[in-house]
Amino acid sequence: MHVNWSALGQVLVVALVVGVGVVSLFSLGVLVGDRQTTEGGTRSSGASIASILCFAACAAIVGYGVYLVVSK
Amino acid sequence: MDISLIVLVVVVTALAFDFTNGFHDTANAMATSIATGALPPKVAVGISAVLNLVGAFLSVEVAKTISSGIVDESRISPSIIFGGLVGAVVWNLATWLLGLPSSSSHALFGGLIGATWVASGSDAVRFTTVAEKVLIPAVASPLIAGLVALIATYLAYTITKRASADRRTRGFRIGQIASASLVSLAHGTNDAQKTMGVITLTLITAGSLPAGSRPPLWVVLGAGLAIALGTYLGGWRIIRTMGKGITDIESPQGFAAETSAAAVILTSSQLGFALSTTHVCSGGVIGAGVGKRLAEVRWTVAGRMVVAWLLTLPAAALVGALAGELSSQGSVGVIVVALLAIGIAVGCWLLSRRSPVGAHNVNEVPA
Repeated sequence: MHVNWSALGQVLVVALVVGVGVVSLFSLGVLVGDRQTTEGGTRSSGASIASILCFAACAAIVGYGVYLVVSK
Repeated sequence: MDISLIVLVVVVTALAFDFTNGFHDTANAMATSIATGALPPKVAVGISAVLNLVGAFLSVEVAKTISSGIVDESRISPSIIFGGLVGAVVWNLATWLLGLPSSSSHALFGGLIGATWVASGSDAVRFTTVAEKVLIPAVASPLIAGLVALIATYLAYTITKRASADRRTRGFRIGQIASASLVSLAHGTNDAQKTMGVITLTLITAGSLPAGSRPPLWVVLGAGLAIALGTYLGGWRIIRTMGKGITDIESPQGFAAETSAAAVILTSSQLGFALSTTHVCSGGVIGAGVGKRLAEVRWTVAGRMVVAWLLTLPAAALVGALAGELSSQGSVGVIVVALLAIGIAVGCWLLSRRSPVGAHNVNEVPA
């Protein structure tokens, strides 16, 4: 029986990096977006931009995922 | 166009299988979003149905083999395919009744193996391919998805520890909608293609289509609509097990589970190492449960699910063998099998009415 260990290993590594990466980015976006509204009520535009950047990066990765599905 | 009885029966049964496929697998994409309230139940199954239909039309690559090389396809006939499909449908209905997520692809493979075995002999079944394409992925997929979801869940909670609970719940709910939709789309492009492949190859075998044909529009439309309708009607019993039975999912966990599942499914199909959507998503949910706190996973439910996975192939093979043997006897045999299958389907539905699960009570923890 032939087990394609290298393909299996690649799936593990890529899925780990992408899955954990997207969730971490999104979590950062949630955290930063929250602090901008709660800390003294003063909106820091830096935090707001950082939050948007996090979500945009997630959206870009998801968009690439859709592209992979469609182009297959 | 000359279509014999058996070909017609195979087409109808393939569409029925496609319906149970959608019905069974709604939970994979949507159970976690329904459980956390990210989407109302009816809206969730609606979105999933539309994306499955879109997925059926999107994918250019249509399955070129019925069995992915698991059986010797020069030695199978329409009645064997019919037997295999019946085995898959019956097993899908039985696991639905018990509320257990199990792989529809494994059910189809099992049915085909059983039917081929009795009709053409055990040497027509390629057991090494079975091990490579069914057994190894079945063990690997929940482990990989579980590990990714575990780490992702842990990080999601750690990173957002200082955010307000309300903000966290709402933020991740939005993320859940996106990740669940991606899983639905990927499902449509994969699973609807399988049924299209089965129907197209049966028509080619019967001489109704020239060899190497692409699926006719009615086949694409039929398969897409069958899987979408099944998805929309929703296997609520399975959705409840996935969303509430295994662990009480919160929105960061749901997001982590579905994102990990999407990452694993897309990576594996891109690298040509096909994994079962059901196994990946269930593994993701378990991993998300462990990632928050170990005790939160109901291991008895998870254990029953794993038993169902192990039984799927042999059980569907047994039904497929019986159905294939009977339907090889001629038109009368085919009609008897068809009637029996309809009888079992009605029976399962009647049994399910004793303790109905629907959109109204899908979020109650099962007893």
